[in-house]
Amino acid sequence: MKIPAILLLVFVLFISSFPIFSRSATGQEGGPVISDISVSTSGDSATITWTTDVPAESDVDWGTNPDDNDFTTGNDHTFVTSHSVTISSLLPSTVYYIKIFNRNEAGYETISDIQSFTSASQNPTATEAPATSTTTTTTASTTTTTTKKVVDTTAPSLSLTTNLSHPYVKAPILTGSATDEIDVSSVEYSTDGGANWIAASLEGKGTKSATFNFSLGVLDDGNYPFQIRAKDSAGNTSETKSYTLIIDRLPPQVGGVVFSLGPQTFAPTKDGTLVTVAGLEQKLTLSAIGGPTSLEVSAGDNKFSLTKNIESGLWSGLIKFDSPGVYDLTTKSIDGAKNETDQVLVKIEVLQAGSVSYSGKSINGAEVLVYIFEPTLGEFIVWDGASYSQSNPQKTGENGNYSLLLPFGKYYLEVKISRIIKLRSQIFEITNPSVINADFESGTLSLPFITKEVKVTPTKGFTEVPIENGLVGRDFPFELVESAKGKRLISFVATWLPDTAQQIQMLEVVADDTKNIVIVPQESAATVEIYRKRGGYTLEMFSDPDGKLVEPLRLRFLPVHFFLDEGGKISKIKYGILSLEQ
Amino acid sequence: MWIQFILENLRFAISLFAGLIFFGVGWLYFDAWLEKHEKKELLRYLGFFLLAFSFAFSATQVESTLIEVPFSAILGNILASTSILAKISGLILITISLVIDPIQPRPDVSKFASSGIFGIPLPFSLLHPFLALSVGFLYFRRATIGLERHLRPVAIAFFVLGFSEFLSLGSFFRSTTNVGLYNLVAVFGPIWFARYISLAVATFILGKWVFGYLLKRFLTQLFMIFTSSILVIFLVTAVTFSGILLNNIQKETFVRLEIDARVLAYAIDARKAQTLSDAQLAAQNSQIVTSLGSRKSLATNLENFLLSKDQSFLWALDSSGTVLARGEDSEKFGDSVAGDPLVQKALEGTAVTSIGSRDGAFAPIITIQAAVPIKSRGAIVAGTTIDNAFADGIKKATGFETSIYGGNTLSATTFVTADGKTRPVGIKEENAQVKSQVLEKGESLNLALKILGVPYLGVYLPLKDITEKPVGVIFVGEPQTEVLQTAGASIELTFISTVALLLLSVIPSYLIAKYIAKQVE
Repeated sequence: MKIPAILLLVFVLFISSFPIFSRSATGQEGGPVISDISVSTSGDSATITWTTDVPAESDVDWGTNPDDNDFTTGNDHTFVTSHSVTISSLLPSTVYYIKIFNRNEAGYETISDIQSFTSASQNPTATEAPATSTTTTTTASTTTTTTKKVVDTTAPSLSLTTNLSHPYVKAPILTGSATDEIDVSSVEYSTDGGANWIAASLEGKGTKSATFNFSLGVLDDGNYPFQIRAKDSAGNTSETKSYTLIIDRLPPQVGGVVFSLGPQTFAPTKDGTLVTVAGLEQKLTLSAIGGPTSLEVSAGDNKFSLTKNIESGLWSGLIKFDSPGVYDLTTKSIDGAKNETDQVLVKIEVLQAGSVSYSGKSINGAEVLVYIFEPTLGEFIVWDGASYSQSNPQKTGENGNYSLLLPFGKYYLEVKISRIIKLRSQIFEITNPSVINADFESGTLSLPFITKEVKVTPTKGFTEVPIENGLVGRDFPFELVESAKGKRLISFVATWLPDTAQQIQMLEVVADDTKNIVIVPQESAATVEIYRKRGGYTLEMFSDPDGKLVEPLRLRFLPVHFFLDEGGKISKIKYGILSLEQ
Repeated sequence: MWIQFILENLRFAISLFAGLIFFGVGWLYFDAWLEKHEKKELLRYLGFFLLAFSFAFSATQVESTLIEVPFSAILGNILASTSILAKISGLILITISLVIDPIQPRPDVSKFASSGIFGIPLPFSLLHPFLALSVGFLYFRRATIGLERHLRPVAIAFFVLGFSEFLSLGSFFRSTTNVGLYNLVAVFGPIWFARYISLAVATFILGKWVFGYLLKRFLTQLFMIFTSSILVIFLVTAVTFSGILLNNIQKETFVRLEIDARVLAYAIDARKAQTLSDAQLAAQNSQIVTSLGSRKSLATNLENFLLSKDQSFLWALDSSGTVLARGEDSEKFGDSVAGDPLVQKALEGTAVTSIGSRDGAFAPIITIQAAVPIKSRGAIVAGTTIDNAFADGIKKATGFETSIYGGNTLSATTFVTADGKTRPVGIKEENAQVKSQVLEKGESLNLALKILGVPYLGVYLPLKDITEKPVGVIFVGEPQTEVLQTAGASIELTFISTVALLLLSVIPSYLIAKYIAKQVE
């Protein structure tokens, strides 16, 4: 009993020589205040107890040599204010040194000064009182410690457990886990490349290991890239690579197609052929469903790539043909599930470009200038080609070629071969957008300064190629649209086309006589209903969100109108904006 | 615009002076007739008076390109027809008077046989050039074959007048497909100029001749001085007045366009307020609020609410800015719009409204949007699209043509291209002043510029988003020719009034001249 009592005295004196724990700062800026450290020994173990002013987790390092770094650690990772750590396997009657670490929830840490105690003596003999009865309690005033923020530089690690290697019919709940050395404070995901982050549902927040789940909330076919990031309380952030969720309900399908030059859209001929001219670049815009990830348009050896507008969901690109001929414009669309759809889009007749020659030789660099009659001014002015994505004046190429596609109006062309040799067309009027491809040829006998007139015939060389699509005379596929039964005129439009509103207004005027309805392919019912409501249209409007009618009716150019006879057979098909007379 | 105006006034002045000169010649013959009361003199002075009326009436005819709807279509037609009839009748009367008036023979010259110039089968309206030439020929015959050499200037004047009348036939060729010919005969083209220059020459020659006689007698001298002075005063008054009028109309057009643009901006502001109100109603709608936890019923409630309001889209967001459901598309949700400053404000607890812009199929789409907080639970975003239908609605309510640009690209408009049905959506406004002053500095701008080659007077106002950054432009404009056409109706009225007053002033000026002459005698 004496030795432990002496040792206890020594220990008390030793402890009391230390200043009371003090903190340079409190609250969130500093670590917890450690106080009331006491050690009780019993047999080969010792229990160290102390308190902190705020909940904190703790570690205790202990050893026999205060200068030796080879401490053994005992710990308790629960956030409490009353702490107790038991260390065992102590040598008897040996001076041990301890160092207490406490971290609060904000991650600030307080480290006590080194304390010491002497372990209990040898295990008691039968004559001696049991070791447990010789409890030594040391009440220590806490000592000054260093307070520091734990420098957590390691970001949490993330893993997604949902299998994304196959497509889904509808969006699944995406699950995964995050781990961190200290804690995981949040998990978020982004569907827009990191511009905006959305919180995922997190189980085990604040612990070292947490699980998360979230849903991208999408139903439409498509590839949906997303990223996940996790943060710990120290602000370390880890971000995953970009994952892609593939929703595949339908195969990819191309729907309505629009060819345009500036504000001018082009309707096909009555046989459904689009007429254009070699060397002219036109914009192609089309809608597609089934979530294609790539869409390639080709015509013979010509290939054109289209890009998707994220906001409008439409695909667009430029097409241009260098050689005249009749082409089948086809599309190959591939979705995220690698489903591939090949469709014949339209037939295009590419006319030979106009040319400028002198004595039979093509003139490179001749200037072709278009004038348009401006009725309000009563005079011809230089046509504003730039607004229609064309140059005016236009320099002829190596083959002396020029390419023009003019909108409605009264025009004439002036061709400058040289400073003194000019050619000019007659004044001509076109009521529909037309290719101008006249050949301007000047002979050697041309008189300087005397302008020779060349006859211009719009769409020279165009011969209609009858397309046997086999639709006229067939039954309208009412089974796909029950609501269309009994109707005589069925019009297909797209809400994203600027002229659709005018077309519907016209159709409404004759609605009673023609028993007509409007169907919007590849657009949702809500979109169509809101469009109808906003326009105040009384006409019946339906949607065909899955594009069930696109292939059976070969819907390409929009608007298109199907006239049905009494028996529900297709009697006539009209492309483009339908006039009241039509 | 001003060149057309100047040329139009020049034409008016020349025609009016021609009228005065023919009136002077008529007065000369009338004076002669008062002495002898001969039939030939009667026909001649009547013929010249009719020619004077003809030129006076034709002076009131404003060129068709400058005037869309004449002051009075009926009155305009009457004046035009009267002018042609008076001209032909006058020339016929003068011709007859010259034919029936025997040439005063020269002692040593054999009689000249008339070559029948009548009976040539020409359309009625094409007669007057030939009649004018025949009058010239008859005068020339009198001056050369006969003894009346003093009539030689009259003959020359009528030859020049005939040439001028021939040139006037150029208007019949304006439907030609030949560019060279069209450019020759176009309004204010070379033939048009030649016609009025030759008329001015004819008027000058005839005026010089007639004033040589008229100024020999005190009464006629006084009368012609009065008449000429009145004409000059009226002419100067009319031209000045119409010039001031045009200038004022141009200024007023800018003021009106500016008001129109402000009205349109006000309409957009009203629409913003309406959108904000709808969003607030949605945020307080118990069905929407209680269904925030259920996406499907939330989407249905949003859709029902949207359909009851005149809005294009309606979204419910959670407190992190994630779209819980969309009223316009129940199948699209789960994305975050937290980065939108409008949404950020709403999530902070402030109800806000703004103008936005997003990509469309052919041009940017301008939207009016509002975001309001739902008590500690997220936000509601509502909005409407400014599309062609919106622009049409504005036109229906206010009557003016307007365009909305997203950036410098035309997004919605009431204007149509020459085919009458295509809206030039997607064309770009490349005017540097518009770009710098409106789209960069966010200031309004009044400007005369060309759109698709046509000169316009226009007012531009910026459309700003919540950060006060211009995202689009409101344009209200009018073709300059329409301004001239508006002025043209007033100018035509001024010309008609001037001629009417001029004709009326002849009587008092004669009476005053006669009174003074009598007093002097």
